[in-house]
Amino acid sequence: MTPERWRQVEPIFDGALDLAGEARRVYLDTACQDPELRAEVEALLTADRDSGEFLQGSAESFLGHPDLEFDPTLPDDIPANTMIGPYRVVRPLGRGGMGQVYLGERADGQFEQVVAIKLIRQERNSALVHRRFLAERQILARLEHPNIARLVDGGLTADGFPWLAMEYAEGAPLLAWCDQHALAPDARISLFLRVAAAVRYAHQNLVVHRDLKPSNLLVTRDGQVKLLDFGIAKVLSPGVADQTGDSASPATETGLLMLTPEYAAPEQIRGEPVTTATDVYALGAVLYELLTGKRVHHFDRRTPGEMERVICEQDPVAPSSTAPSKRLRQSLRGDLDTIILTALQKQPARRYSTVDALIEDIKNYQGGLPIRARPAALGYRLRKFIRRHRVGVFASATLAVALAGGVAATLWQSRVAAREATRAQAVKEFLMGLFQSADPAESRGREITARELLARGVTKIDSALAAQPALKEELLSDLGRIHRDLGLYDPADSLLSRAVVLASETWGSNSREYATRLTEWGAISRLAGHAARADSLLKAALDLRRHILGPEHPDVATTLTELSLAADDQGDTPRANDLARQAMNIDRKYYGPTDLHVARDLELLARLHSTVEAEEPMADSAYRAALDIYRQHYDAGHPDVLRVKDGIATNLRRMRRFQESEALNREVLAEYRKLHPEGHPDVATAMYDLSQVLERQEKYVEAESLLLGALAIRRQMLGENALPTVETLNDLGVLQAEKGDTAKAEATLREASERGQAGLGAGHPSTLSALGNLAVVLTRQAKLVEAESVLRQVVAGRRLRHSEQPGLSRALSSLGIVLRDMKRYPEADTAFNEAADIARQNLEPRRNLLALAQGALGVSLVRQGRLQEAEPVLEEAVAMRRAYLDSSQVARLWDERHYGNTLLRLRKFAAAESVLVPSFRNSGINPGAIAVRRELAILLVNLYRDWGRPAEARKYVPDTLPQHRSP
Amino acid sequence: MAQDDDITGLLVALKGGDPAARDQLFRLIYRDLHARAHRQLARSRPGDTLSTTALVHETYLKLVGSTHQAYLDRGHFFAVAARAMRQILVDYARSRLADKRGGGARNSTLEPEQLAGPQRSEDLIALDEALIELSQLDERLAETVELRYFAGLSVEEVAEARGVSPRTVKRDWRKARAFLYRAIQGDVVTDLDGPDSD
Repeated sequence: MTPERWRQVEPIFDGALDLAGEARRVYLDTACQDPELRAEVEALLTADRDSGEFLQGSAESFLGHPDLEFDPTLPDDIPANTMIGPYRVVRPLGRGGMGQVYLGERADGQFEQVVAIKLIRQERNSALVHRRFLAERQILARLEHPNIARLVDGGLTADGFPWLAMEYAEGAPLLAWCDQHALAPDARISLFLRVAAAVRYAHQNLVVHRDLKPSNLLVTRDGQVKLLDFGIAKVLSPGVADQTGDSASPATETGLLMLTPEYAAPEQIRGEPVTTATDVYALGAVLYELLTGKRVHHFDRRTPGEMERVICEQDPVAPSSTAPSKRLRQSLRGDLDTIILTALQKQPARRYSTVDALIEDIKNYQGGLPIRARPAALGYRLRKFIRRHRVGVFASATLAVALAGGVAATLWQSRVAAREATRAQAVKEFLMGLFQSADPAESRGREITARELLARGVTKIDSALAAQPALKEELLSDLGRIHRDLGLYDPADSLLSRAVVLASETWGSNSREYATRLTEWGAISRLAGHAARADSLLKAALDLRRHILGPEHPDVATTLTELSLAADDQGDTPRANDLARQAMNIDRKYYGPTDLHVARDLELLARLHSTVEAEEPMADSAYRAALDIYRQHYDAGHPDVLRVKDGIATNLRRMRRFQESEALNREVLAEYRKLHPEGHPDVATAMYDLSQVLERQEKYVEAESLLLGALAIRRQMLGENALPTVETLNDLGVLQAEKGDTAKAEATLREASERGQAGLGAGHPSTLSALGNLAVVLTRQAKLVEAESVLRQVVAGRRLRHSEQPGLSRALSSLGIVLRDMKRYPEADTAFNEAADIARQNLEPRRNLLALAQGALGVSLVRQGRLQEAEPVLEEAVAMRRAYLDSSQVARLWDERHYGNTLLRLRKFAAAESVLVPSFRNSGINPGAIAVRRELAILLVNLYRDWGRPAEARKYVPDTLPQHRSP
Repeated sequence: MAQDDDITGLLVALKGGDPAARDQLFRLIYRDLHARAHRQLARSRPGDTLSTTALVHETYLKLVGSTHQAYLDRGHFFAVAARAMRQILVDYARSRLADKRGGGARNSTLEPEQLAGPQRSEDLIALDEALIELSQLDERLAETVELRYFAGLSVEEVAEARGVSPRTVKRDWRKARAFLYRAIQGDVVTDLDGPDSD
């Protein structure tokens, strides 16, 4: 079919779709004069009629193994000794609707712990499910009550199945235990009250059990009640709707299958929201059975339809009429009947509004006081009343539920939901406004860029949202984060500062929201280079969060982490270290020692250690501990695993354990290549890191080809002007310069600078770094005028950010060298002195930077003939070079040469000899040191000649010849 | 790496109508989706199925991430992601077909009663070809199919993504289904008549 034809066919087809029979025929007769056209339309209409289930559903089940039917039965039991997380399987305990339960014990020898592990054979492979699983797990982990079996740990198996480890409780099921001990009704009620109190505690912590039943209630050997599987039902069936408003789907088949119909409330069967009232119902059912020995409902047929009918429509028989003995019947009649039947009301709103109210009424009964619940007769009258005044009663009933104590959760949940809805709508309108207000005259036909839109958002936010401070506050923060993500730190900083002010006005300066914004502002302030301010903001946020949330809350850990980064930026690595450690301790306690949060904390700690030379071994062990945790959650090819291995490799490189580092880098690269055979930014990163370690081993050829490979991937996948592209160009330029390809290096570094300026901005650290390297290459070619102007730009850029101090020091030294070579000595020396001061100011003195500044200053002083002053300066430079550089490295050899030269000119022959002779010997093993070796030889000839030892002078003459190549 | 950071900018650029942004986004999403599918396939056992909807949403979470950016532009993201998912499925179907037969010969026999969705590689390729034809006639209908079928979006989500009413989406969906059904059936007929059915 041609597009022209389709334009004729489509409207007629469309028009005919809503018509049937005769009407359609008449319409087609009039619309289609051409019989071929009509045939086309008819064919489409036939297809529409016949298409049935075609393409209904989605491409869902297409990938996979099409030749086999899906097998819903569970796989075989996991054999003993299999590892699930840090636990070793001991034996199976049983299987439930969603998976198996195993007895497990902690296997890492840290401490002895026996747990029940639930392995969930459902819903794997979905990030949404996993996220919810993890979120729920965190909530459940908060429940700490002597009568609730604690959630100990949880995670994903290597296969991606969720698992939960619960405190393992040994004991007898509640009902069996009561019968065994022939417990009297009063004692049974007391036991029940303990169960109810545990449920009340959970409700106060916003957790609904959802699946209370006698088999989930154990009595341990010492007579303690234990509630099992708290909240697990929700974790296991995220599709089931609840009042958090995050899932609108009705109860699925799976959800229904999971329920135990004898104890399920009508709203669970109907797929309506589950609330605390659901647990009230189940408690009623448990009490019913506990006292009468009979279940609330009996099903003639266990079909879904039959079960739904009975649960939702059939009123239960009063406990007193079904109890086995006359005496029991008498004691149940009246108040206990009323209490139990009130709990078992079909409508959630007509049950006890909270578990607390149920407990209170039972206590009233026990104490002989009048109970609050009214018998069903009144309920009957109420029902009639409701029918007459439906709306009003519904509203007040809802309100009553909402206001009652423990169900504050309900209110809170619905408020959150309402707030989210309002917010979504307002945000949408706000954004639409941005696009609508695009003025064609202003944009003059060109595309509006993302940044322009953002700028417009910033200017409009005041007028558009003046009346909604809470929303405006959130949006300011959102806009701030977007700016941050785009690297626009200054606007992000000012947006967050406004959000903070607004948060304090809206929520008060003692609120969680305020603390959150303070943390965000602090984090962005740090990125924007205001380290001191970041520090004080984050400290305030930390105090506030500790005060509101308690010292062990994970949000406190978040702030601690940011504070640690800020301390690191200020060069206070020990403090950064301490803060990161505090964050890790909180996360360890809160999430458990093998949680991914802890792994991330360890990674930060490792990174901090790795910046301090003496602590590199500690970095190594922290990295390896993080790796252990990641490996428990992920397989060997997981990006997080590979990233940590990369960190280990980089740290090994710093420790100068090049061969181990290289091996690990190669392993990581191979994994990434396996993962992305057709190229991926991660592959580029791995190639880049490998190239770095090769370069340190002077394997320049392979290093360069890896860099070129990384560059090609980054250019293509991330963009020509993207940060990693610029950085790769920069490194490639440096490598080429080191190899001596000065012209190539200049071209590469020019490109890096230009792309950096275009894509990242002139002030971006990576742009500045490329410019700085370009200047060095220019200096080497004696293009001093251009080098000076480039370096002035770099120095100005580096001065803007506190965190760029090391870069500033280096740039000042480079500038000094240019000025020195232009014989502008006073300016040069000022630059060197500032560079040295900065290097000294750091708490962890940057020896390389100090050596660079001092060495260059010494040369400057020598050239000015100020030999006496030059001597100690060069002595310091040499001392520092010797502390961190191998004896054959060029930078060290040059400083030794300058120092020796100074000593010679001061006629301190013996001292000069002791510097120059070993230096010359060492230069022989480094093929890259030809130039400096020749300089050293010349000095030695001069030294021995001046010293009056011509025989020794002669030995060095061959090495002074320019064409000489060392072996 | 920078790909996470770039997504927001790309989405905004895409909304601003930048075709280069679309290409770049497609590449990013394709690779992420592909890696995910690849990893899960490697790990799956006979009888397992992969949820394409879950894959697309996972990629969305990974690349766009936290909810604060979610309002930026889900629609454009899903449009691109649906195209990427389609591409991956078709690539996969072709490679599987090639594995089985050592070539691209088609021997499709569709039974209309069982057309709940193309379960076999051949069917998916046929669907892809029909979709290509449809997109040349009516891009909007083809995109609706991609969003519904390959990204697994609901009618309401498609409506939101495309900025049209749910009614329009339902209408487009119905027309597209009819067109594709007919195109694929036409294929079967040609195939059966054709000399190349071995």
